[in-house]
Amino acid sequence: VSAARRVIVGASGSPGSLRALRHAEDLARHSVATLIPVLAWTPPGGDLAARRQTCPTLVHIWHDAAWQRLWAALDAAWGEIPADMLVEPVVQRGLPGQILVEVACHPDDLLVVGAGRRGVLARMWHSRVSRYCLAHAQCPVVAVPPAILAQHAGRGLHGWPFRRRALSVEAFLHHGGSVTA
Amino acid sequence: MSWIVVGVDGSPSSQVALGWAMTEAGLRRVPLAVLTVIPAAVEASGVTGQMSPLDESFSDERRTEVQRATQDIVDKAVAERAGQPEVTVTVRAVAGLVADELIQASGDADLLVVAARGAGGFARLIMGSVSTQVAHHARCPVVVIPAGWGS
Repeated sequence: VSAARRVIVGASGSPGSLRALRHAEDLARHSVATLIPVLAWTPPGGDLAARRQTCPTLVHIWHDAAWQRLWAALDAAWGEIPADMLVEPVVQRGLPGQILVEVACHPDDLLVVGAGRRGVLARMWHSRVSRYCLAHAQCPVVAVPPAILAQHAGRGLHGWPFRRRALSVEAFLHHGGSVTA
Repeated sequence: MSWIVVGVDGSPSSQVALGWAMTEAGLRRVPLAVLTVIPAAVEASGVTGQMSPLDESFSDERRTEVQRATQDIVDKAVAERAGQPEVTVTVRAVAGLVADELIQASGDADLLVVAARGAGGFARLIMGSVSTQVAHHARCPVVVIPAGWGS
């Protein structure tokens, strides 16, 4: 058992993935590994719709747009590409879970994903990618939890304006946060 | 203060997870806490389905026995990685709901390491997966080592 040689991280640009990117950067730094941010894209309307009428120009545009999303995600997470490590971004067409598991095919790899949103309803639609990776990956998988503030603020029904309240220090500590004086 | 927690239940895959956690703790130069959870008998509420452990289902002798067994596993793992950086290891055995205890232990840890048993299909549907549950509810990043990894 040796330290990871490649750290593969899902970089969809969602708040959870930004946290995963930052965590992956730490992991890659202290085990001196190559960092591979991966973004998977599917055509708007789904693969089935695109298969009926394939248009190379559109595919090219979608692929370019995916690269732009990936650079935006890296920019949001780090501000700049870390200079002290090897970063090899990957953009591929397909479903995120399958692409991530496909890229992280070596046992020496480490796959980092955002654990997704919590809650009874949220988990029906979200955190599918992390669940797929946990069940199918051939290498260790790191699930990075969403930020404490993100859990508190909530989205969907929980994010309705009338449910929003100021975050008190007590509530923050209750959710596992730490305060320095 | 930061440390790494690893869940060990004595199975071969959990011993692989222990090895991974030791390597990681050596790299980060942080202490390692080994946690063994003795699955307690569980009482489920008929109304809410909420599960709670029954207190009388385990004894101190049982806990000491399990802790000793885990200590043996840890000693073996430490002996195997002679020559690599020293890691401070503490062993603790508790009784309760496995996923709940691990999630609780993740509260102030840097990283939680668990192994997946690799049950799929129908078995997974019936029994659920502790590693998936922990990965989605823990407060710190969780590393799940897949079944059969490193062999």
